[in-house]
Amino acid sequence: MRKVAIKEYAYCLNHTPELAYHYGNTPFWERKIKGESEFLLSLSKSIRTYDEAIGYAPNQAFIGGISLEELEAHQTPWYQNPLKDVSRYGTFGEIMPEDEFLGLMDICDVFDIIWLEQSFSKKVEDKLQAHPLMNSSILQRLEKGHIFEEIEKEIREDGAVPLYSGGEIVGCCRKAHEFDECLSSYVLLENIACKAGGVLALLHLLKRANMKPEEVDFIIECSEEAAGDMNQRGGGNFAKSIGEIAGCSNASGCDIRGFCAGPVYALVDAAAQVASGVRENVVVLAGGALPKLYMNARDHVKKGMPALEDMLGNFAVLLAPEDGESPVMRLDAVGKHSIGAGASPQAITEALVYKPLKRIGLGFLDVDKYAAELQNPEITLPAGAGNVPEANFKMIAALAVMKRELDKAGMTDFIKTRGMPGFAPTQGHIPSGVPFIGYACENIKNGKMKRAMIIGKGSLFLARLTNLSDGVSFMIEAPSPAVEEKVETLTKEEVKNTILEVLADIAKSLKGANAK
Amino acid sequence: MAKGKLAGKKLILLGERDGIPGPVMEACLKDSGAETVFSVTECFV
Amino acid sequence: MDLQNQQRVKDVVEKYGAENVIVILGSSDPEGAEIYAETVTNGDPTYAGPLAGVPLGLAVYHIFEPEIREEVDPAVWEEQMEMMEMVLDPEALSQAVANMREQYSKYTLE
Repeated sequence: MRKVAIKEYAYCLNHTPELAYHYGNTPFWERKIKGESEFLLSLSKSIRTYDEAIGYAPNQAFIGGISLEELEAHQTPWYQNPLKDVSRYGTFGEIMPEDEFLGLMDICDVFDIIWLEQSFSKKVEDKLQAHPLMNSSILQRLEKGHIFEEIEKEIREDGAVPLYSGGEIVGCCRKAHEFDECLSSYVLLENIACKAGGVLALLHLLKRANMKPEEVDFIIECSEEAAGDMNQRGGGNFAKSIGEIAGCSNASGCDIRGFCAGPVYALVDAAAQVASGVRENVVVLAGGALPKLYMNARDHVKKGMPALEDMLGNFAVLLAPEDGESPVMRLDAVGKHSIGAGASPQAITEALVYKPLKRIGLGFLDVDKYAAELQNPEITLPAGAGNVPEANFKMIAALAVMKRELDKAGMTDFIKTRGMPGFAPTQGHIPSGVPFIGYACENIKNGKMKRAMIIGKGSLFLARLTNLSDGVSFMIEAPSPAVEEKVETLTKEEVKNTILEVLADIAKSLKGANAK
Repeated sequence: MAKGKLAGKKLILLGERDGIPGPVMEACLKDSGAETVFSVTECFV
Repeated sequence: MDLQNQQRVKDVVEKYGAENVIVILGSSDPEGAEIYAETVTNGDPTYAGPLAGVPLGLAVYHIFEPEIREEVDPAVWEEQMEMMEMVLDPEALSQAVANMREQYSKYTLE
């Protein structure tokens, strides 16, 4: 079976504390039910500044500003030990501040949904003009803006939700229908934020791949948002809408969903399309989940921590045919959790890790790094949700013990060397294995590592359709050495001579036959 | 199966995706003589 | 605990009576287990949900506690739970729930 090259990858974050404070699900519903409560007051005092967000070590690890080894060695708690001399830009992408992100959301809005106040729009335009990836065709989509009174009226009378910067109203997100909940201002805000994140990751990906937007053949978007109206609430299509803004005029696209496992499903699907020759190349991407911002803030605030869930996460990965240089996705060892496999963590780990390895004659110790659910534990532990990545590595190690491929005494070492610290924001689909793809490819390219497994898991019960578990996995490996294809070619002369020889033989045999 | 401590009880199973999910606890306790009246799995991430 | 689930717990207790209900937890983290156990015994410690200030006093156990484990067929346990016993910290989880039960439960398994 063919392998598919992972050509490039990009990872970005958007620091959006004011969107989080107003529209993250936890504060949003608290405000709706209890008004400006004590929790919201404490939360307002726990908000991080942009400088704090870019100095936060896991954020820098996400965008490739520091390596995972550096993150692991960095003193914890990370939020109390900020990095010094950090940049907005890392190897894989950037951390965009909120005012510019609101501008990018306006750029991504093609239905006059986002309104920005005039002076704010001008300020943001100046900032975005200095952005290395915002070209004129993108920037011309930024509207000149509205006078404040118009925005205020839209909020007061027409169900628009306000947008804030520095605590002031600087714009609004309007609704697109009188009573359709799928087109309410809140839902549209969520979707446009997700779209804008996807656009940012795509722009960084194209730059890293040194590729023109027109060269993209297909885009698969794999976030957890639903775009549609009340007749088809999950209709889509984020993918094409994102490609449109980035100028991918020759690309088509569609969305794939699978809760937190969505990105891994999308990558397997994209790889199959490339391997079969259906697509020349495929970009898999996703923006972040606005409702998940400040999801566990109640616990963070209670424990006197900064509210760490202020980052929208985005990523983009480019797949193309194997080129002998880029690390590859193996398609003969894709992990599948079947409907009958069972819900126990044991059954899931067996389906996603043990079985695909066994299929190609490998064992647990043949994988250098496992990447599953890379949520930052500093966010989840105070909320009583445990260290999710560590639990996953423990599950893999425990199964290796049960399959007699590892001594029980070797578990700790297995977890330490083949796992990694969680460094992704709690953005559902974003942490699910994919943040490690960039590091895996870099490490494979520089010979530090041979093989990584990327694991996505989803919580299907959240949609109340089924209690089944879900997950999918694949492996990244070093490319096989490029084999020069030897095609035997014949010259015209050789062909002519061969034909003449054959004809002479036929003539001879015919003569002989006649003579009989 | 001998009548155990759980026989006749009504069970509420509060599972966690990254711990023991609801359906796994249901499978464990289906022969306990107790009736599962509410089983749920929570996800914090 | 999820607010909707707090309501479901409350409804079940109203329907069947607190003395007949056993809560079994599958939490991964001792601190999380403690919050769940506290919620169904002494009331929601976060004061966010329907169980805020409602001390149901239910009998609550972690599935790893011997009282519950004894009731599970060993073959089923092996298939469903053996791996997670190595992954999670059964002792800490059991202790966390037992502490809450001793403090706030009005009922226990006889």
